[in-house]
Amino acid sequence: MNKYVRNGGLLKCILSGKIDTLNSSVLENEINENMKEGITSIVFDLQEVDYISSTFLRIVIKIVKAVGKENFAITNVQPSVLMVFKIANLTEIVTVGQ
Amino acid sequence: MNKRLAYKLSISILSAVILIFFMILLYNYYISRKLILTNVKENTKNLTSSAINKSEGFFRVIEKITKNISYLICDNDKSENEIKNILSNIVKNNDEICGSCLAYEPYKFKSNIEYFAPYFYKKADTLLYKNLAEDEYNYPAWGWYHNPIEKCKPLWSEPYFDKGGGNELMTTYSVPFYRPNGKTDSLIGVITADVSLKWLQEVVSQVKIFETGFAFLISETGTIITYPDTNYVMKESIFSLAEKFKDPDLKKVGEEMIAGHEDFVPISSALFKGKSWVYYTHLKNNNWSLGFVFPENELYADLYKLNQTLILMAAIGLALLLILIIVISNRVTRPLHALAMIAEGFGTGNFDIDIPPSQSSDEVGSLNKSFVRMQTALKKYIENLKLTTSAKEKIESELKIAREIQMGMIPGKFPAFPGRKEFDIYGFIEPAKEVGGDLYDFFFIDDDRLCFAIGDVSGKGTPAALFMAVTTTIMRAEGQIAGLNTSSIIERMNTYLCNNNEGNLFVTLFLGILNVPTGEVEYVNAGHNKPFVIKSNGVVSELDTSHCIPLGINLNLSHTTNTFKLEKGDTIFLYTDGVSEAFNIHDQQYSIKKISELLLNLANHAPIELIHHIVDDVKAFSHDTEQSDDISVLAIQYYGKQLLKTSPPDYQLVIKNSITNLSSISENITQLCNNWKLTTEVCNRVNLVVEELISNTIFYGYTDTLEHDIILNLMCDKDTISIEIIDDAKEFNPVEQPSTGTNSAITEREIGGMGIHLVKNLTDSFTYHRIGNQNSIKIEIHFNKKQS
Repeated sequence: MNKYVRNGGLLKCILSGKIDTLNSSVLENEINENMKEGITSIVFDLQEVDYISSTFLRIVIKIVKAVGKENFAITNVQPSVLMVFKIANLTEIVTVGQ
Repeated sequence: MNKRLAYKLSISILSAVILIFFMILLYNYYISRKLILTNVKENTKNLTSSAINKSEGFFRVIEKITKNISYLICDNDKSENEIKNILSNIVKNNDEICGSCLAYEPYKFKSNIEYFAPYFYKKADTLLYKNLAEDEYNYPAWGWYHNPIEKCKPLWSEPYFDKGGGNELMTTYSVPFYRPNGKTDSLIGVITADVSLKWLQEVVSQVKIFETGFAFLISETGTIITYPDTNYVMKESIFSLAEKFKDPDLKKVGEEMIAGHEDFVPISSALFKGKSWVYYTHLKNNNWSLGFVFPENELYADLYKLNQTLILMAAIGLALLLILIIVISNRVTRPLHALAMIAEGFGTGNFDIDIPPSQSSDEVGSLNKSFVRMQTALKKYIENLKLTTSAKEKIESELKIAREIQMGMIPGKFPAFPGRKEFDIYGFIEPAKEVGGDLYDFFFIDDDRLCFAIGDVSGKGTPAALFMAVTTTIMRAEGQIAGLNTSSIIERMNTYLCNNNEGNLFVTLFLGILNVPTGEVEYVNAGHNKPFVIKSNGVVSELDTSHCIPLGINLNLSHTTNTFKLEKGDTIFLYTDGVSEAFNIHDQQYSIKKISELLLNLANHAPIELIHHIVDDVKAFSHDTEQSDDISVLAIQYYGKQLLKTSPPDYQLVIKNSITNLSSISENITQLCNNWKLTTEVCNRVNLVVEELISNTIFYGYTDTLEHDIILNLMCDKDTISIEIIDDAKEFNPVEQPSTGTNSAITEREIGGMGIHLVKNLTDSFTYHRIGNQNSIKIEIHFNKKQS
């Protein structure tokens, strides 16, 4: 289950499990719902995520385009997931560890 | 048909006859007119002379009488009584003369009398006397008196109505008379005679020409003196009428007439009651002119009548001719019609109609005889045709079955060895006729050795097909005997084929044995085309073969066994001369050179693609020409690598094209990876690649809404996972998709295209083939096995 923690204008999304073609649309809806009121920046915590597909990358690009690069970060990326970000050349927004 | 011929004949003959007749009639009409006119011209004088003579005679008599009196009086002096006596006698004794006057010049009768003009005239048969000098008459002022004196000759006056007398039309003849006086004659006076024109009018009006033709008289000034319509008399002149009728032709005729000319002219004028010919001549006495009117229709009446008769006769003649033509053409066409009906019967297949014999020796008769001969010949021909057709149909259906049998002898199911991943083999054959003499074959002699062959029997069709069947059977029989090599198989086949070859056929054969684990091939070429070897690096070469005669010719077969080695990715391509010697419409051969050129671009293509490329190219080349020879091709691609004997069995998953099925794929792959003892990282890679490709296909590949199968094959050996995804979606080559701009800033990124980019970067081999209507993606992922 994904968790969404709000701290002022910051939304922290603690995601878990596999994010694939099937469930990424559900995720996208959840994030959109939580972004409604006064959210200016977003952080994805991928501690519990061990698999992502290109659909997740699409969600990431959409959010970056919406809130701006400086207002978005991904933390706690697992090696297998990091590899995907590397291939997609999206590591600039990814922080390994805390 | 009957009617039409009669109709055509009638039309053409009648038209010609009518044309000729019309021309004759026209010619006749014009000639006759001319003749009639000439005759009339000549007869005019006869017709009119009596009236002219009578008129002229009338005036001449009066002139004579009057002149005689003048001589009588001018001779010597006469007393008044004597003169009165003479005058009264003249008037009394001449019916034509109504009155006579002797008018003297002043003082010429008596020197003491200035004017003297005794005048006797008739009134109601009574003779009356009057001296014109006695009243206010003043005779010297009158034209009848001074005109002749001025002109010094006798003159006729213009006609006039006598008001005092019987209101008759009159004219007066005045003669001046003289008395010799020395050398010159001196004028004494003028003697006149008044003449009634009643008689002359009667003479002229009695003239009748044809039915309505008439004569008319005009005076010197054109005044009408006689005319059938008396209203015109003395009231109109020919010129006033010309003016009234606006008739310049009439005016012209009038001018000619008063000029004293004589002519016969055509004129159309109201005065002459329509179209007519007018003959006019002048009277010698007083320049009056007499005209005779010939109405044209009466002039030509006989001619018209003759023409009418002629036309009537022609019409009757033409009607008779028409009947005659119809009767004759009917008689001619009736037998033709009958023959036409019979021919129609022939057309529907009825050859048993009785043709009535014809006795006539004309063209119709000979046509009839031809028909009888044709009927017999056709009957016979159809009979033969029926027999041959049924025989042919039988042969054809037998050939069709034969073809099925022959095709059944050749391996036609592909993939031929689904369990053998070390090589791929594909063959194609197309006989020029129903059955042919080409062959290819392949079979395992034992677990490791694949025997393959391609051959071409001399000749074509059924004999070649039977010989091919024998060859294939023998090859299979001999080849199945384990331990045999190509050399002994070829020798045994040759011996059998030589000993059982009544038809003296032979077969060229390339026979090879592939050692599947090593890729080594040993082969014998008995007179067949040299196969091509396509190396994985694209080098194409013909296989070296030593010379050997085809099988079935000589028991003593001198041959050599050759060997070569197939490396991983190499392909051997075998063909018959039906490929290299295919002809196009310009009679050019396809040629071996062309095959090798095409093969240059086909390295690393699967055998099925390679063969279809070649076959399609040959067919395009010989497009629109009949296939002259059987076409056979066989290709083997060697992959070499053996699967580990310990590896789990190949895994195949078939799913429908619904995105919800992705979860079951993921579960299956994860389970499989566990079985294969793979790390989570490798497992995730496999999952990611499969998910990206299959979701892509499901989302974008199908143009319809139907259910489709997607086949997923997974294989694993010691360091490689092989994935194959096969679908029947629209053609899409992901390998050739350009990479997305992963170098651009994140905010500039395209949303799509990421999936294929991931696949390309997560795999060690990524290939795509379009085979038939299927997309086939092959992927390899290398790994280091997890330490268990």
